[in-house]
Amino acid sequence: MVGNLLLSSIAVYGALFGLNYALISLGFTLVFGVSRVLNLAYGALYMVTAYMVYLFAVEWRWEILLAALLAIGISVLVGAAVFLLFSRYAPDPMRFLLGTLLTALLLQYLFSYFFQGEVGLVIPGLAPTQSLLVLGVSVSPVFLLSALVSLALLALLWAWIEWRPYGRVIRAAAEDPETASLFGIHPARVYLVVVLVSSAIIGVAAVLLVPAGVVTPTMWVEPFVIAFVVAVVGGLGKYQWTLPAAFLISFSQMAVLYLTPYDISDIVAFVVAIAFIVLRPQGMGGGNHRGL
Amino acid sequence: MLLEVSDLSAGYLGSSVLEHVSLRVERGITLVLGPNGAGKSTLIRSVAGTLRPVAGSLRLDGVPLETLRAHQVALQGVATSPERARLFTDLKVVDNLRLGADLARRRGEAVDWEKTLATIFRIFPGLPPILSQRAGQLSGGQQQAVAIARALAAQPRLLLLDEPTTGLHPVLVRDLLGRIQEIAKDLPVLLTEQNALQTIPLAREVHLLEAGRIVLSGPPERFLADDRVRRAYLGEGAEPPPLTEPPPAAEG
Repeated sequence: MVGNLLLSSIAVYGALFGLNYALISLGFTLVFGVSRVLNLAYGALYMVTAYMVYLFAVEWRWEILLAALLAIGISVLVGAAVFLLFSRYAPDPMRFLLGTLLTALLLQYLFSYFFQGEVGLVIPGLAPTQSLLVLGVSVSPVFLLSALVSLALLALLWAWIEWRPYGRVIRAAAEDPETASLFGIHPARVYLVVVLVSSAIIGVAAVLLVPAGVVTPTMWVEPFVIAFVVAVVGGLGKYQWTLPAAFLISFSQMAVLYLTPYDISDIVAFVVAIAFIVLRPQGMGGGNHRGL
Repeated sequence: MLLEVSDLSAGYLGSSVLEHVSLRVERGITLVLGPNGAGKSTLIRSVAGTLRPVAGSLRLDGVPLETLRAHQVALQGVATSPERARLFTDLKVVDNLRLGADLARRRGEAVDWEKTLATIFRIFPGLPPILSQRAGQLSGGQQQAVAIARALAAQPRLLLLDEPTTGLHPVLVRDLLGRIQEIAKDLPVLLTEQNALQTIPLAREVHLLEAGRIVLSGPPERFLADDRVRRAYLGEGAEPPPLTEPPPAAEG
């Protein structure tokens, strides 16, 4: 009986955490896959969305759904502005990386200044608060809803990129921007569209997941680290491998958590990522070939 | 349709590769012949807009191209099959062709996809069985065929072909050039090649590019009759020396 509960816990929490890791990482991997730049301000959009929800829903007492949608919109605008700024004025990959990292830190200090330092703020969520039982395991509806949204977004994104005409354009611009331009495709515009989509995805992740925690100026670090680790394991830019990579990390964490006496989930994630860097640097997706 | 290249100079990182090149592309095949490093691809890239010229002008029916970016040049009706084909290897062959048709649509052309495919298959009958293959899995000859077909799917006004026969078996070269000749009946083609022997007879006008400059221009007959071209590009030796020494001229 205890064994069954352990296995159920590993299965349920492994799946939930994996789907949520994928939700957080998807946009980061997609932007790198298409435009080949590492956007280190990605995690900051999670923080921007969370603070905006706090401002609209708590301080200004707007409806949570309206507050969430506006906050996601602001995440998209900030994501686009950061991308346009650095892709125009600091386009080489190293300057882009440093510029976006500094932007994330700047936003951290700005929010710290305007929202009373490190005090943890709480925002309302879209999901009910009462726990549910899944396979005998108690689950927060917050994580369940975000996991379902993650699954839906993964499927939608995959269908868009693999089946829709604009997906063909994205794949062409990702693989060979110069040749794509010979067919009337403006690669910079494609990159911007992908940044808008990825900024919306991380905004959705924040709206769904932050209610389970607190809003602080340093909260951008955790989603950024998750996105980075998942991207390394899946293969930088291989968005199709986001979910398998997220599952590998989450199930490894849950197995160690439930089958050993050690609570070392974060360490497990980094060990998996470092093992990939050393043994399979191209990640699960494989290949050094440019493209999605 | 007329492409007019006037006094064009272009290069990379400050070094000049193409200097004061002038030529016109009207109908049929305009061939630019030259050895490796002569500047053939630089010329194609300058016309296609992937390389901004340093000086000179490019006019397509009077519309200046030299300040346009590649995607804007493509929207003017210029389609390119670049050097080494450069297919989108992750995409299926049919999706590569669809990207060409997408360009035609963006230019406001009415695209009947079935008709486009039928036109392409008439010129390249070997394509139907490989439509659903990933482009990265194709042989060199197939890749060149798909690259040209992809450009044709764009319903262009001008076709740029950058060394399409490089690296192909001689039988495939003959076959591909035959198809290019067929395409050029309806569409002006600017073709760059090293392969003089098989391409000169197909061209309406030939330009010899050496070290970034056009050193000889004219109809194919002029090239075929030119001793220097025959020696350097057609693999013919100089006139054989006489079998016996001529008698010394009488003094005084």
